[in-house]
Amino acid sequence: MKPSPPPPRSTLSPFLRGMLEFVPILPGAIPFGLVVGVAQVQAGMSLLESVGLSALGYAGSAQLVASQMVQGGAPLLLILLAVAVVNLRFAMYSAVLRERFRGFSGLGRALNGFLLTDQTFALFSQKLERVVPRERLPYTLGAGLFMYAVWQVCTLLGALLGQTLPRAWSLDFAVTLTFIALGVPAIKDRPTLAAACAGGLAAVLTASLPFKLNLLIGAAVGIAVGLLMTRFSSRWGRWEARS
Amino acid sequence: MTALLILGMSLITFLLRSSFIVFLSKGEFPPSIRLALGLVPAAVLAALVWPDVLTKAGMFTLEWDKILAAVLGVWVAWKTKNVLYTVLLGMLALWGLRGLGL
Repeated sequence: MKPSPPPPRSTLSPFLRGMLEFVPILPGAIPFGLVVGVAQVQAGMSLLESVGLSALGYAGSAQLVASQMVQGGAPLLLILLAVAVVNLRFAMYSAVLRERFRGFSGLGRALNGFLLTDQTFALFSQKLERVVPRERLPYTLGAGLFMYAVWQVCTLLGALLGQTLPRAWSLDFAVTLTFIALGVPAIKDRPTLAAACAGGLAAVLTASLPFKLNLLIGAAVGIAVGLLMTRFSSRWGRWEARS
Repeated sequence: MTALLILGMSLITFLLRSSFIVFLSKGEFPPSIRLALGLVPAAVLAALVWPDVLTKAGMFTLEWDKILAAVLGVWVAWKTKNVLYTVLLGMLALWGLRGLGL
């Protein structure tokens, strides 16, 4: 059977379109949710607490870090500090998306604020420009709510399965692969390549720091090196144009 | 304690995510900030990925099964831009390399 052609845009509601365009990103969210669910229960949280953290906290990497720290007996304030550091990247995402969300209602923006993840950010920063402005809000909610629902189901499954998921599967590596799949398309030119290499290297070199500070340092170093590279590239461009 | 953790984490996460979308949604960024924001995804995602592959408990380490599987993942992601293929082939590579005793 031949695959049917995609339906014309007008027949598909923007909410549904957001959900559909999010589907290719889902395979990475599923193992991630499982891993987080397992980690939360292993850290000693009850099923209800685990569900609560996923439903309200709703931030994979931070949930993982918080679980590790709860298990290690860290005090609450330090855990929250680590959460803030790990999630600081969302403020940067928020800044990137600000202008694209500007036409939304207050409630629409608040919902998008609550639902913003690495996955939906990757989708919106690549695809949102192609959506007609007045369809953008339902589009973002379709993708965002879909991700939210999948996350709740998968972390619950992980919490229920707990130890029965074999360690030998190394499901946490699937999380790494997800971030690779989201990150590689962000490398488009020399500055972004330089940002990725410098940021990654800096994060490795500072990995022994507490609270995942290396994530913040890596981001800062990557952006700084990328900016330098942009400057050199444009000079190089001018120099080439002159000669 | 867990209830406080849930509350605190929810609040912090929401405030960070909404920072510019909800609370500072007016205004334009100057060009230099725009340039920097364009570099955010590449820099942040690399800072998440590299330590996963090259460190263990904060220390630098070379685990070749992970490194090779990650390199394959980068190649697949670059060629296909597809999360499913990247995760699937990367995991198969990791399990395969472990099976071979690498």
